Amino acid sequence: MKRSRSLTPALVIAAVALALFAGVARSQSYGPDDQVLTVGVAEFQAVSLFSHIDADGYLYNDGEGTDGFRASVRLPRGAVVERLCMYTHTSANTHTISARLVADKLVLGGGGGPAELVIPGSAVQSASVDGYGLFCTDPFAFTVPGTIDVDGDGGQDSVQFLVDALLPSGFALGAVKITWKRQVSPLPASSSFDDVPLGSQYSQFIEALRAAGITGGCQADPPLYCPDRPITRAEMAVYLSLALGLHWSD
Amino acid sequence: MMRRLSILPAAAFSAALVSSPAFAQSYGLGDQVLTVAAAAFRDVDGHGVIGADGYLYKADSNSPGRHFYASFKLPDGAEITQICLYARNEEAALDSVAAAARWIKLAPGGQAPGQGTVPGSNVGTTFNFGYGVVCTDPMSYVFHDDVDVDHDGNVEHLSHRLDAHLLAGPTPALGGVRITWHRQFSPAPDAATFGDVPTDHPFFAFVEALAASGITGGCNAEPPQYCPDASLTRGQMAVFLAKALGLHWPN
Repeated sequence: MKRSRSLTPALVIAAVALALFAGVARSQSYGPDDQVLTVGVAEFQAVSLFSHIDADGYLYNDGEGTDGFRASVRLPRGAVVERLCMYTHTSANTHTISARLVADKLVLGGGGGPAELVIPGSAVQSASVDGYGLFCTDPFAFTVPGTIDVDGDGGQDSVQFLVDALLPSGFALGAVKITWKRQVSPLPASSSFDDVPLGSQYSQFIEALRAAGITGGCQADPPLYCPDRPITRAEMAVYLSLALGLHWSD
Repeated sequence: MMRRLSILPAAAFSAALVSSPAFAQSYGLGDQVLTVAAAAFRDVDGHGVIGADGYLYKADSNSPGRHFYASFKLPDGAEITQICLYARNEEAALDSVAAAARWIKLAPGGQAPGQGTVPGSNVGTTFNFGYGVVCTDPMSYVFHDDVDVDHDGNVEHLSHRLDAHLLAGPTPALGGVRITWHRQFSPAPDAATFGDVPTDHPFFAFVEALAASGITGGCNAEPPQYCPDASLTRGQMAVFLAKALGLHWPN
């Protein structure tokens, strides 16, 4: 955790408390194409209290120095994060706004303290321009894991993901946009169905459906999927209902 | 929950208290509800506190009025059809709570920012002496991240938020805002992607929606065809579903 001011224990606790309970935005489109997660400034909680959202809708730092702001973000397991952009209002001086995606360790107790990991490639910094602007990282690829070794101690940590932004005094943030896309999970170590060998044309997709609990195949023992059998309209109904959790009435 | 620390005034904790906004996660095209809880609202120009009833109050009951914002997001193409405000309004002549949805124009550079109220989204308390809910008339606002929201010929980059205003009076309080919305599949394009699913095909819009989402590339690349009447194998079904939903990563 890097801060412009000395790190007091109180601030660390406050940051963790704020991060735990901050709001979550979630994109809800489907398919493998690019998606956008817009993290609006009303989701950012100030580590310093000297800030306001102005008439332009942007979040301004009213403090005397550079202060940190953070927002929780939630992305599906397996999503590839590709780019992070931020909308800013800056002055033409040496100060800059920066933002980045951070994995924040959830401390479960029994050893190890808080820790954070900046996702490689996710840090973006503004240039010295006078006025409103948009700044983006180069393309990068980070697959959202279930757990991650945040502190390098060899153990897998449960994490929450945060967007951290550092705002110099008088500078403002409009929003952070995260570009990401869904992926189908990689093949397991061994095949689940005798008639779908690993590496066959549809094996990655069939294994994904099985792992998600959407299909148990066409036969239990020996386990078969019958990949080349035409699907009936009735089977189609089962697939969609199970996959989407359809449909609970009000 | 953490106790108050001397370095931080109460407002930091009121902002952090309790729940995050709950996003409806159902599928299909039926009505869904996005509940934005009181605790998701950020202090804008003053302190707020969450009362024992879970409602958001002005920390200083004598202040003339306080603003609170909460960012929200919906799937691209979602249609908002109604917004409801849960509030407490004890004193007829004094208390009042108002809310509205706003779009915020983000400025990529060389442009001015701006914002506007989502048409039909203004809602305010009309009841007195207690807790209640008040809703807008049925409305229609299609949610997009990037759209020409002000019809000036340029596509704007947007973020969205709810603005809540606790007006004068000692006890106005905000319980939460509920947004009723439903999914829509994308409108059909002008030209067909596949030669065998022309624009007058009964399933044209649905096939195009799948193609535009990257879920299908058809059954033949050149010339592009979808084979709409071919039967689907169980293996092909697995491809459609796994690609559509990004299945399935273990936790």
